[in-house]
Amino acid sequence: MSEGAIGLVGRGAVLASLARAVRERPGLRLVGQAEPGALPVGADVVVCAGLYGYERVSVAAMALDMGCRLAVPPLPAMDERGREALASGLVVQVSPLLGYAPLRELAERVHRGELGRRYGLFAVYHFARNAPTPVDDAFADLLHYALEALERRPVEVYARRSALCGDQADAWHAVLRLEDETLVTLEAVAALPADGPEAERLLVEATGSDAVIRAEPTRQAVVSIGRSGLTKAVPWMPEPGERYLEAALTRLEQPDPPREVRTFETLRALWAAAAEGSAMRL
Amino acid sequence: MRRLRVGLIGAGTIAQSAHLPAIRRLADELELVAVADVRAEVAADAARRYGAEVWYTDYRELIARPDIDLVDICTPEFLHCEQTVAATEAGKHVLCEKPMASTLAEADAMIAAARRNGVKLMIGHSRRFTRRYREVARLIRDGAIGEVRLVRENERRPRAMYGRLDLPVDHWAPEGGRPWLASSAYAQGAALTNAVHETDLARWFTGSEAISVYAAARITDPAGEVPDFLTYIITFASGALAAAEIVNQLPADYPYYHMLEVVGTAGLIRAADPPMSPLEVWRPDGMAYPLNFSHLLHVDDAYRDEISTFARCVREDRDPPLDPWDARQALALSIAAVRSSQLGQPVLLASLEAREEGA
Repeated sequence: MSEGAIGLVGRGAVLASLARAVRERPGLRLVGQAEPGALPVGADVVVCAGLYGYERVSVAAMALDMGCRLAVPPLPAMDERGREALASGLVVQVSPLLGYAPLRELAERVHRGELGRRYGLFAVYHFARNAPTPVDDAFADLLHYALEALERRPVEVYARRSALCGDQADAWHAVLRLEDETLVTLEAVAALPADGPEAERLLVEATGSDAVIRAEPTRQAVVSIGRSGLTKAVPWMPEPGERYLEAALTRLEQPDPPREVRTFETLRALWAAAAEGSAMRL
Repeated sequence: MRRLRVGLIGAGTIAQSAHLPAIRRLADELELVAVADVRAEVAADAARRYGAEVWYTDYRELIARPDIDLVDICTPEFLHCEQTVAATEAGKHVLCEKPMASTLAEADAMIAAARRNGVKLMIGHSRRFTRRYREVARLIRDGAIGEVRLVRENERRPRAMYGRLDLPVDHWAPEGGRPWLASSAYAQGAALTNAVHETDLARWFTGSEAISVYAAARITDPAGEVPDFLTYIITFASGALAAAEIVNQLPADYPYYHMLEVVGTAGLIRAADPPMSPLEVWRPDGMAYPLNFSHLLHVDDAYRDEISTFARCVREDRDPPLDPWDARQALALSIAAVRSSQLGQPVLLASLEAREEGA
């Protein structure tokens, strides 16, 4: 989509970055920004960012009711309305991780066949223990990114959803076998100490017979070591808005409802595997 | 100090890349007396290179020598039980390469034989002697990160890794066929070959016994018969998890790489080969890692410390720091990973033990 009226829904720095990206992109017009719970009026398409899982479902359901084309971060798998919205073709899912240039590049290189015979994909997403990010949302984002990068159907999945460092669930571990035998290993954990130097850590390694493609977009920091010996690392990253917007518009232009539903069903199977403690066939 | 007299069985890749060089470095403590290998030319060459008095193609001749105190077993794991039991029956102390055995019944027989004969047995889990991991263990023991809740390890190996070391020997290949490591008649794949390192560290760092293992595996080497790619999730009784992804057939120039992260209730520890290799060379046709294997800590000081520690325990009549039971339990996790990957479902350790008992 090269021109048109765009509305945004969300909050926080990622929404601000997205708004800047829309304004800076020739041909696009930002017609409104809404808090979660509402849809901007007068938009050809709406793009969401910075939403919690339940808000993602809610805005997808609204889009379905209003016949609005919407790009939203991956939906949690527990709500049938989310599935309906994806099956309609009106709503598409975009992993926020596609906002990171190295991860986008990794996915594109995998698509180009640089791995040769594919072996596996390992992806880890660690974030601070006091971050507002729910681990379920982080895991959905990671899963969606992995499936987008590999473009193959899962045939078998296993997962653990655990409370490792507190009373609430703070960790997902999953293994997926894809139709071409590629093995996907995913880990999303609120692992980083609240007062540590890192707020986030993302690492993705795709392995194959001809190459290993490794992306670590969060590995950028200004580090200062003071006289007292204390070390302070200030992580910085390019804004994710531009690439996230690009991914959202591309997906909106060519919606693929069966694929959207398949991702949804995969996440649902992973929840079931975690609940039952056994692997699930898809 | 009287030097302990050592006989080494199996002069293949791990012996010639790690054990024999370490024994040579420990010349003040150890004297290599004999080498045995089923390949006469390999046994003879290793004896000549490392100064052994004699070589054999039948290990039984080596252990029959009354002048050998300590036997270092570096053969494939399917031979470990037979050779360990025979050596202990001959009154020798035994240092045996990991994995301990092919089955838990074999591991139990090895432990029983050592006890029965009053000799010491230690399994060579070299990472227990690697400075990096010892430091991790110390930090955990000192409470630096609170209670361990997650151990994540990834291991990456280029294909034909040992070929880069210019060793005078390759993996033993029965009747000129595929190397034993890739043959389903002799090996069970990555779960035992290298993931037993990961399962051992996971037990060590969590300080807990496992309840269940889920693993998925595949064969990526077109010439292989056993899985060389493994990914697993282990659940421990403490509620901690351990997870690892092992890849053994990466492009030839990829650096051997081990990543470790331990998440605790009060912090985390990371230890990885920094950042990919101690030496990187940039060329017009890409990057090269000339020291990608031989200079890693696993291979240098770790084996020297492992062998030296065991020799000291023999000399001073002390228990080795790594109880054979620990190696047996690490093996149980690796065997559970094999079973799980075959079944496509998690395996309970209790059911694995019951199956072994019933077998």
